[in-house]
Amino acid sequence: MREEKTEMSEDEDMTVDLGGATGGGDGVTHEASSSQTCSCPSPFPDQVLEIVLENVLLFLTSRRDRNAVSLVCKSWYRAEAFTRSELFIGNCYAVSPRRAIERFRGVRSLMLKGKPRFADFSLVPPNWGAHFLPWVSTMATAYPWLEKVYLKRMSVTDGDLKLLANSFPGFKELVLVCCEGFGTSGLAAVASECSRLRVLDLIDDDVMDDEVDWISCFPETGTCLESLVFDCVECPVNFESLEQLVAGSPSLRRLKLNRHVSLGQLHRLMVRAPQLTHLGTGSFSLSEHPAQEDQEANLSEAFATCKSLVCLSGFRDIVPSYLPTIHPACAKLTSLNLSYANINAEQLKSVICHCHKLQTFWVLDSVCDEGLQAVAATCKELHELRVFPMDAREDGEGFVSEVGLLAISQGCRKLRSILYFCQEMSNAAVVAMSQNCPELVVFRLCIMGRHRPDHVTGEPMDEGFGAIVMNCKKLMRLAVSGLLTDKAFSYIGKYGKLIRTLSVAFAGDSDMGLTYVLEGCPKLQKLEIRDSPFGDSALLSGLHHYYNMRFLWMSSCKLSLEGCKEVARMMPHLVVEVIRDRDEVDTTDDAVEKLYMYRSLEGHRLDVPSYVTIL
Amino acid sequence: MDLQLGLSLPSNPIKDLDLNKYENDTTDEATLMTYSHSCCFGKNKPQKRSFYDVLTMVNPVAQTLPLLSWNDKPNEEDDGDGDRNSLQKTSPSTIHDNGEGDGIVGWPPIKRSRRNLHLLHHHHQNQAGQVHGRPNSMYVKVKMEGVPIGRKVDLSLHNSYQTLTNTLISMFGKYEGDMNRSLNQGSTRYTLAYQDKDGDWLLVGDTPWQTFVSSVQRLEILMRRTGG
Repeated sequence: MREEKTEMSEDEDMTVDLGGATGGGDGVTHEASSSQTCSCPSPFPDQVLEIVLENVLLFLTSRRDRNAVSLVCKSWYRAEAFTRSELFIGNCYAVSPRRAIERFRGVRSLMLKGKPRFADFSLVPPNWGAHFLPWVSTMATAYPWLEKVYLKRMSVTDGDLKLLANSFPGFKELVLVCCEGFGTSGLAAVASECSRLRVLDLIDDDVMDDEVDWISCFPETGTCLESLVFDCVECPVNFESLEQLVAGSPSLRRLKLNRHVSLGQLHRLMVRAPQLTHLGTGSFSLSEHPAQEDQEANLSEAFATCKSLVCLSGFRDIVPSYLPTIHPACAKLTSLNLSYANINAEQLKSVICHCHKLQTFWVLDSVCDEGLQAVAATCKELHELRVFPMDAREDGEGFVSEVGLLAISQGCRKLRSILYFCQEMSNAAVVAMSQNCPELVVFRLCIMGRHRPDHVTGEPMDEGFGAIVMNCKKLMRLAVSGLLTDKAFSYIGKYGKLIRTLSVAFAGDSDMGLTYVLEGCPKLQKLEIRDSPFGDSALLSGLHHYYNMRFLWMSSCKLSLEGCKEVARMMPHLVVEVIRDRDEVDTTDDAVEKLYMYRSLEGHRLDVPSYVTIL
Repeated sequence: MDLQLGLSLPSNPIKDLDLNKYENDTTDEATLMTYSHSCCFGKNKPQKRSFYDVLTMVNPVAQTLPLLSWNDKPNEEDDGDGDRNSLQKTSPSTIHDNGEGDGIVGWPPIKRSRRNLHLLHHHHQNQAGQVHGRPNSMYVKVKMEGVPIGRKVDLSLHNSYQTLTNTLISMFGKYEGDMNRSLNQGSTRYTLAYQDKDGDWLLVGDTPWQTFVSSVQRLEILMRRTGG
């Protein structure tokens, strides 16, 4: 073995003393022929190998590959741990900050995910957990060279942001997605203290208004900002400070404004930053002082001047007659987000007909089937479509139907990802999509009426979803809805071999439904179920698989405390959380309303709120 | 200890309130709100409840009991010390739907920022060129009794009392510990009140959500002065 290592080192032409290459391992002897007068001891051959490996591994960025590398043997494990610079933790409770910093010493980028996704829909009570504090305080001392932090569904306080801002002198990128617990004073700390900040992206966060003017806390002399995304921040910003900031940030490429920026203000900013590639247009409507701001003609010119624009979004309070001003940018657009814009089919058509290069399109169903037909006619390169409901109630008015879905499937053959909200659907259209769009990786259909059958035939929606899993061989993410029997789940279990994420709501007849999935889908990692009649025996049918999963969420199903305790007994590395809606422990109530379970190296977390019991 | 916002209960439950009706109502499993196993009132359960218990929606057609209007107007200053005692006499509010017809939490699965677009936007077909400039946020001030700093909450981001109380609990929960310490008591119970367009102070939860939203001017989280 040692000879092999030596050979390898020589091949690599390392300028490192091989010392001890011919035997012995004390590493202190030097090669007689070496002309170096190195005063440091030569490394052991093992160390040489590790150094070689480390240099190679610097180029290995995929975390799946890295995980595989770390399993080869101990020295590979060490080398990999030493060189991993991007740390991804899909569940912040799966591993503790302490364990992470002990294994990985050179982390520059941290990505953390916290609460289960159903927290976005108010299914997780407040103060459940996913606190950023233990992470930021541990890393403040362990990773002083930390540059990037990406958090999703974490609870972040102003104090955490201040600590972050003050602990990492080279800090460059902060991305917060679906986070809450902080306000504008936390943002002010980041703005003022992080002098190397390049990216500040706030996406779908709940930002409290502390009445601090955070935009003006950026340095007046200029910044190296490349991306500033704050469209989710619901409090007004000081426009003069914003304009000054944009003017002083020559590297700015991505700017997404919030709804308090009017059309006239948008125009002024675009003039300052013609190099923008991604623009969130704010309210896209006139301010309360329209006399100062009739800039329509100039706005079109501004869109023409921003020659690099590839992504447009915003349009939060759009005056539809201004939409055509984006026309000069349309031909180059690859991403267009109109999902807050209440526009009709005609208004959409006037712009979409120019968007031949569009790959990502988010829209409100106010454009109706007719609008979607126009999209299908033009956007042949479309990869991702999301159609959101204007009227998000289950008995609300439906504006899109199977007609729109069918049109999209016929026109956009390269479709990879779709999220479609509607009131009712037909199996035929879903089957057609499964046949027309074989590249689908993500299929999420939300029929808002619960338990709604195929409105043409009256049948359950089993066959439609069955066709999707059968024909879309690359499918990794699926969300089902409508009236579904256990048959649909048997299809999923039989054909959904690559499915990693499955979302189920108001579906299925019996435990068999869930059992089909747990027994049939080997790649399943994330399973979220609500209001479906799956009970303990179904839960227990998945024991063989739960360690391979990131989490399982089941709410309003038919689980009992006994069944969940059984799982906890059999699987010591699973954390089994029972989430109640009330503070008191109701010992007479055996039904489990909400179950959240996930694998973890740490056992019970210590920060549980009173309404959570860990079994 | 979690912040609890509750409405008061008289020591004897109101006769009209048929608790059994709510507890056993399983006609439509799907309409049972996720926050409601059983009715949370009476039945010898301890008085401590969380606010979203009180506002639990059990059945979209549940009756509401009338609340007494709180006629004492508070002082105009933000740290008003108006007489809150009249709240002791109010009858319990019970469960009601959120005024929009759907009684299911988190369904359809839409994030808060995307809700209510149909209410806040107007169809523009015939309004080309018209000014539609006002941003659609609806900030109201929220003050918690005993806490000097108020906050603001954007009601347009909420579509039900539940999400509103969740937000308030996240905003103000941290103060509860301080309050308990300063008052030397183990726990404090709170009530949520709002001032409507006429200047009257009412308990939150009485009216359908939309009615509330269209008339609320400001919110206040008040301490319950409990006798025992």
